[in-house]
Amino acid sequence: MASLDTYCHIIGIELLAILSIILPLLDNRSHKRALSTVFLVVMGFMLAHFATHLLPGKIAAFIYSSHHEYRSVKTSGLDRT
Amino acid sequence: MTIALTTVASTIAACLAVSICSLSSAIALWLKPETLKWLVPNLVALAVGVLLGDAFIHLIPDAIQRHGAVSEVCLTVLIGMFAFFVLEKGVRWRHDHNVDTRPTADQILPLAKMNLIGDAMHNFVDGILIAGSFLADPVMGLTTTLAIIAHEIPQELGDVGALLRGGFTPRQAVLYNFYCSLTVLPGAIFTLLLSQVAESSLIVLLPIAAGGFIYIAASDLIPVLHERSSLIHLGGQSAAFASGIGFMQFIVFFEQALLAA
Repeated sequence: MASLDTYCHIIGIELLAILSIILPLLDNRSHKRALSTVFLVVMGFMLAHFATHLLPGKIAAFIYSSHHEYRSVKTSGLDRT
Repeated sequence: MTIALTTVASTIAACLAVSICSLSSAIALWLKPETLKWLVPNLVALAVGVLLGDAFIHLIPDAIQRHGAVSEVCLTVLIGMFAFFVLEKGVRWRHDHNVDTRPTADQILPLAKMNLIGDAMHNFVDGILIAGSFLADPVMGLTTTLAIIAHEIPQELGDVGALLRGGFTPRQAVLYNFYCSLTVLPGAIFTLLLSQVAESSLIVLLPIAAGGFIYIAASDLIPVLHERSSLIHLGGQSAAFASGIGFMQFIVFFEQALLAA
């Protein structure tokens, strides 16, 4: 079973896909504005998560796996990220 | 009973994937009006095949497998047909007061409204099935989602054909069809909150949805197909009707292969 993070990413991508198809079909301006805000919020969350969690996590994983003399301050064991 | 957060997230992800499939009908927006005019009767015929195929090959056998008593399932199917008949009478009394099968300007035919109601109910049942299978096992949840997506795509195409025939513009047809597909989420949430009740409610909901599909296909859509009776239309509509049934039969084989894997 995939992690909660993966499912949240999938849900975010699906929401963005749905909103990007639905938005051009709407005529009502207030609905369009509300859904555009939802689109931006979801996009913002995903980008923020990518910049603050996913990217640093990937960089840390790369550094700790390629330089075995380094170790994470979070955990006690060697070679752990 | 506590439900893992990953189960909830995976169920919501699967439901959204099913909803995205309903947007596959957005292809209709890029087609030329002449192509659409030629395509709509064939899509209606496809909808008839898919709805009847789904009811007789998929929903009723599933209900019998869960319930065991064939006569009770058949009675519930009849109750479903009767309920949809009363519902359509109500829709006609409230809005239309006519039995015309051709939409005039700004008029939506009952067949389109009935199709939306039937589709919403079907998607609600799909939501129950998705959440129920994810609660049982994540792999089973995935296979169930794949099977539902497989039968959803031809059905949504057919439904949009029926909505266009009922007087909706292509844009409205795609949007309303999508709104109906969102009932998959309440169905899933209902199951996650009340899994025991939801599981037992399938015994009633599956045959009622089947009854609704049979009623819509036989009383609303087939009369529309009889409006054109040339040899070309006979060939095209018969092929689309048979393809709809063929799709549903193929999905049964696909489901069996997935579950056996």
